[in-house]
Amino acid sequence: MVDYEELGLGHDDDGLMEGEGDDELYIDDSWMVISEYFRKKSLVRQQLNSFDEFIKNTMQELIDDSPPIEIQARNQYQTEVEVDTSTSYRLAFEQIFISKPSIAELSGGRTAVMPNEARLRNLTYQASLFVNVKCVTERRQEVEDEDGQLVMDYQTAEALREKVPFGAMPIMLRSEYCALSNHSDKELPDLGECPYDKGGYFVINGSEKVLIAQEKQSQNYVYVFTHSSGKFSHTCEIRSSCETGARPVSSLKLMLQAPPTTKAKASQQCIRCELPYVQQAVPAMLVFQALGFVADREILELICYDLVDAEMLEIIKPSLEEAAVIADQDLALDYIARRGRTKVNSRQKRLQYARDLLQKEMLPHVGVTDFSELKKAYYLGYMINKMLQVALGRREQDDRDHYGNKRMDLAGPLLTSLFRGLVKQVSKETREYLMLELESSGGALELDMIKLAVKPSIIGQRMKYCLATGNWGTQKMGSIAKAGVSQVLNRLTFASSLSHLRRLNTPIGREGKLTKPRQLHNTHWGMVCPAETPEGQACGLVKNLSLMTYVSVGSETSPILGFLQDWSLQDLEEVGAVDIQTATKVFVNGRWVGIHHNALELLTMLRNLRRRGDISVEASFVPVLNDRELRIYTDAGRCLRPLYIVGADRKLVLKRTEVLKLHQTGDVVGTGWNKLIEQGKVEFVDTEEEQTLLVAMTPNDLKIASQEFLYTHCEIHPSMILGICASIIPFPDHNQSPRNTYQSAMGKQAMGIPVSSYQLRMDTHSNVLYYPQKPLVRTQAMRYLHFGDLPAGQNAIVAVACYSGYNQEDSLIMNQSSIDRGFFRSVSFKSYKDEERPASFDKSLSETFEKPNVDELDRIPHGNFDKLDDDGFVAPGTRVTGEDAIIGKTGPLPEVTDDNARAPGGRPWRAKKDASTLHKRGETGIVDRVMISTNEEGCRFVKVRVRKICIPHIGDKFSSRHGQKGTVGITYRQEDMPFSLEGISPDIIMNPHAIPSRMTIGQLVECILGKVSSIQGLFGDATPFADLTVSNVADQLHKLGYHRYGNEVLYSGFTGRKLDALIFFGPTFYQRLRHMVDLKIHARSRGPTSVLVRQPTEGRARSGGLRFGEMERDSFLAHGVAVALRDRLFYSSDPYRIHVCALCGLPAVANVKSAQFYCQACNNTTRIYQVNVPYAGKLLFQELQAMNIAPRMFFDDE
Amino acid sequence: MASNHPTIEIVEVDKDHIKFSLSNADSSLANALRRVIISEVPTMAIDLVEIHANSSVLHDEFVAHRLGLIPLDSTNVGQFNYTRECSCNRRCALCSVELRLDFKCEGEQTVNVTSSMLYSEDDRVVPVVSQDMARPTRQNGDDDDDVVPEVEDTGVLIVKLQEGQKLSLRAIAKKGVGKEHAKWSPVSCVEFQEVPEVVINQDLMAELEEADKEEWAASCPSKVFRYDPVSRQVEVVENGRACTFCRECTLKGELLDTRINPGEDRFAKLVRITSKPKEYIITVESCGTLPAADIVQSALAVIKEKLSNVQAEMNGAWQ
Repeated sequence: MVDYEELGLGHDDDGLMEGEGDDELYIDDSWMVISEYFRKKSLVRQQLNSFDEFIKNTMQELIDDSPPIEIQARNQYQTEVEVDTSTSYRLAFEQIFISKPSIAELSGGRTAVMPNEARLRNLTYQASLFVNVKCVTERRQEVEDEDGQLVMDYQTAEALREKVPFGAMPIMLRSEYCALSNHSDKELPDLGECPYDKGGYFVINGSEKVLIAQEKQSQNYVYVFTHSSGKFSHTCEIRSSCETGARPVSSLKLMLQAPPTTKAKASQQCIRCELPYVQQAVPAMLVFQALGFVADREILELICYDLVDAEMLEIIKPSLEEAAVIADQDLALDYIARRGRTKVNSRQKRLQYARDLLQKEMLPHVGVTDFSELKKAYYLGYMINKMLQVALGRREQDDRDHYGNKRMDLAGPLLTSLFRGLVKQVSKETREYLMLELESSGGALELDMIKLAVKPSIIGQRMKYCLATGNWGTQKMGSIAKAGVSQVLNRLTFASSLSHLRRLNTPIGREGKLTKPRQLHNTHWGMVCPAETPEGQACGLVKNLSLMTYVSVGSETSPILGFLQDWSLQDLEEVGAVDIQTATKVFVNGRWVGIHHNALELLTMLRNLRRRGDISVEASFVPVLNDRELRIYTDAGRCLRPLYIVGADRKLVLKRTEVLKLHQTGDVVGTGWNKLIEQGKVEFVDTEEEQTLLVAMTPNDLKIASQEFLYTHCEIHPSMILGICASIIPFPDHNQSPRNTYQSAMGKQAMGIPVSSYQLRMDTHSNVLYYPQKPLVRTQAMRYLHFGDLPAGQNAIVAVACYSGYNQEDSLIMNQSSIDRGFFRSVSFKSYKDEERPASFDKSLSETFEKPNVDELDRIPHGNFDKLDDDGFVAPGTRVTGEDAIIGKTGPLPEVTDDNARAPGGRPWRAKKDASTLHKRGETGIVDRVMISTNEEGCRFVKVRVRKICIPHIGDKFSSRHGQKGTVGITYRQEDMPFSLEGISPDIIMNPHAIPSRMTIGQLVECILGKVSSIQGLFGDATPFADLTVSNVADQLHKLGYHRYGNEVLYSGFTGRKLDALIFFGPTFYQRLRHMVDLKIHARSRGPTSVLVRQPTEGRARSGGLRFGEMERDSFLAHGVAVALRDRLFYSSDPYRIHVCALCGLPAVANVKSAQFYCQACNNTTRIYQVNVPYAGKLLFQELQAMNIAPRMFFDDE
Repeated sequence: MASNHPTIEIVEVDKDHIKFSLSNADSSLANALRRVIISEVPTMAIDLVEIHANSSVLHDEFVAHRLGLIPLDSTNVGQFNYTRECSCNRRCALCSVELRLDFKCEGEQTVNVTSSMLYSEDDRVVPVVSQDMARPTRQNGDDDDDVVPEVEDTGVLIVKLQEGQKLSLRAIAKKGVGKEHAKWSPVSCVEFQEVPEVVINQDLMAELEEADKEEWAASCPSKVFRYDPVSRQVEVVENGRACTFCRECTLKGELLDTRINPGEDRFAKLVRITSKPKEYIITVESCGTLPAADIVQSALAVIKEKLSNVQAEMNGAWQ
């Protein structure tokens, strides 16, 4: 599908073959490499990888990790109930099984389901989970042994219950477990799928849900920060968590007190430590003592390794002196325990509490087993060392926004956290159920009970709920659920769907005024798109992955640890402080595993292993030589990107002939990329490792500057820093940067073809452009977005001119004749849905689709039923307007036995009530398709799609690809449009004032390149950071007989005279944005009012009034137009009349018809006033009365 | 002919094109002619479509829109009335023509439904089928296997039908003008240009170096100037007929000024380009409904009728 041939313009191959014979890669050859990459990894690969990893490995691990359920009957309160308390049972979940995606049939069986069926029938695309449950029965019996003594005898029995239903798991589309995975792209259209759609989302209740990657701070990393004010001058933090297991994150904080400002006191800079579950910060040295390192020398060796470092020793001194008072392990433990959150009274227990705390809660990633004190002490020492280094100015403080310290929680980790909680809940409920059964049945557990005890609905329902609403988290875990994790996939344009699947969210309060986390950071290079982010509240917090970014799924550390052992890594337990001082510390995922004496050699070795494929390609090796550290990461959620490797000869390892061969062999299977990785030509590098490399921007840089710089890697192509939406912009490198951001947001509103299967889908809203065109000027990256296959716009002939003035202030003049010929015509589909729900009062009754018979209904229904057929639906092809009923439905009413019973309106009781769906008022359309099916409950279920043709119109919104949006100001017919001397008249006339302040030079370049391409019949290449220059294009245009810079003489269509100025004229790709006046236009004179306050309703959808707000009120007051004001605020809003007793000032009883007025309290029938008040005012008075406040009205003439 | 009457001199003419020069005419006349050609020459086009069956991938409105744009042979428009002026009730054979299309794809191959499958009830108005316009074969490389083998059908593509799909409709063509909808416009475009007069200031030119002369001559994208290395002079080719008024030559002159005598404004005036007064070259490109020459004739008739209407009004007002 990749078409190099089409791209003729922009670069000419022959010019670049300088020095035939040398086999060096040229930058344009990179596209073949990039094509290989995308052949292997589609743009939603990160989602699929993450989900597959979860299903294949993590799910089973979570099950394995869950503790067995132990149950044993207890003696009962009722003495007569005999219970066998001698038998205990241990249930463990073992192997987990997953079915193909299926749905439960009403008959009880399950049938396989395809994604499109799930979408259409509002089903959930999920697979059932089954689990093997092992039950170990242990019977205790007192038996007499040979000596006649009573001895406990244990009898154990094991039983296995196979494939117990465990729950349901929504399946990500086109993942390995998806039903589509064993179909080829060619077969997909027959299954109702678009072959370009690469999945990566779920189908929950028929709607497509994306799990948005959540960005978080990485764990097990020691951060040191300097503070300019406050009690502490430096702090050192770590958020420690085990690599596996459900342990929550435990944080530890070290603080160095700020030097006192007054000189009177000697500097007393003590180091304090905040431990988890300890309410007060304790002196850090005390923690060492509590870990069993009491002597000062021991502690010093743990911290500064080098005992002659006077500066460092000096700064630790006050801390040591502070802790010298204790100088005993038990005392230190006691000290910590006394400050613990739970108060323990006995000293023994206190010591144990403190020991447990240090072992289990402090720095759990170092170890939670016995005898990990030394490691913990070393780690704590390392933390203090790092902080002091910063304090002494030997090291920079850490950067919180460094992208290497960020991790992305993709679908896998998100589902993991959910699943873990749910498994816990299932075990708990299983245990509760079995306990109850056991105790009521006398202590014997039947194996069949297990099937009943394990409730599959827990996992099934909750998973569905979380994915449907986006509120992430199990309800019982109490943790504040994260909202917006799961979102409805945006289907406006194909590119917007793709971009949505690659979105990143930073869960930080949007209101936070801190700007740092929103800013573009150097380390975002190549990982996060610099242009694509929303404006306003979420600016910089919502990001998008760059095209080639790959997110790690996590791999085992054991192979690396094994290699390290083999390569003489020294364990901490075997080394002394002096060794540490001279050696390099090696960390694996933040855990200090040992030291090594020749780090560089180790590093080269590790890198070679990775390049050979002996170590996972995702692993990263970060040498921080200044600090004598080597950090190795294998965890999930790191951003990686591929780079060319530069060999020892300072040339790329990858050669040109190899790339050409790769391309020529037409590697369809997608193994080409793997070959490149395996042969060590290209490697993945994560953000942190990238910091330790010298990356050349282009292969050409290597040729020029190879002597000066020791490049280690080379960018594959600099345009790969952009994300999906920014890759659509031609020449973004010629635009002012915010314009690219605007276009990135606008490209998502452009109309095009959302998916090629749009005819088979019943989306609630969908817009399809009649004649979408491939852009004449395109970027190379568009190929991978299928922008040429499913484009979102048309190549319009644009003149930049002032012509009649109807294109001022960002409006456009459009050619009516072009519109007549189909220019930017589109169709908008809208779907209505309804189902036959069972009646609330009687489940055996249900609603029915039918044409409602007005005589049978309880009240006269709203809407027009004439267009309904007898089956209750409108035939496809029927035009529907206003409030026509689209789906006719009636609901049953409770039976009334009394023949004379009357409905509230005085009509006799009827059997049915109307429950029809009406077409949206104020719009017309044609019924396109009616789909009748059944839903999950087996109820009849219908979806009706209505289409409407949208022809461009004054007020409709259009935009070029450079953040230049505008609305149509007027349409002129061809004869009124200006025309060139070739007789060409523009489709769009844009105002020149839109250019200078916005500086979208890219649009101008696009236009002249478009002109050249259209004349030559080729596509222009507008890839950013390429060699194409404007003068190149201008020369070509000149050669073709046109003005160099695209200007042309135009004649006025009105007069036939030449326009004075030359007009910039040429094709530019325009997008039609979904915001059409027809959907916005609104006016009202009279109309509906709200029930409570009787004021006009609000909003167009409810045909509401236009608010006369407080500023408008102020303006009227200033003008002194009291009557006009009264008209607006009273007569045109909620006029009302009440009668008030003049004596008590409270409303009186009034019967206006019979002219009888009466105040009960005052016994007053004569002195009653009629008062005009707004209904809202009357309501306020009544509400006040209801809370025992009497608002009284008194009258002046009294 | 030195009269003051507007003169037309035909340069080229064939079925679809006509190129003529209009001299002794104001731009108002030339432009009126152009505007009338585009928007007021009556032609026939499909205006109403009644769809009986449509199981194609395009919905009814889409098909109807495409049908509307199909050029119908309108050489006999004169024999029809405008429906709104016709004496009939809704429509009749005097003001409309009915066309039918009924096609079902039976075979496995995807079939192109084109305008040539439209059957007209009236021989006077039939879809235009171009003989000389062979449909270009699809480039190989497009991997769709639904590419239809080239049949001798040069009609306008309406829709492609897959096996089992059906399209059956009745279309009514009416007489109309481009003003109402572009489908009634008989032309794709009308070229209209003033005749340039290019005069080189040879004295000034003589001041230039040879290389500069050559460079200056090359600055014109439409090659109006030629540098003759023998005579060492820059001359105007064919009276500068090709000039597009693009001012590249003036721009080049300014550039030379900045280089040779900064601050002055001399070489910008190396050439004087004016348009010949009262002379226009008009090219009409028909979209097939009418022969190009007929379009011009018809347009002139429309103008004439308008003027006679004005005259009649004037007479009426006078008396």
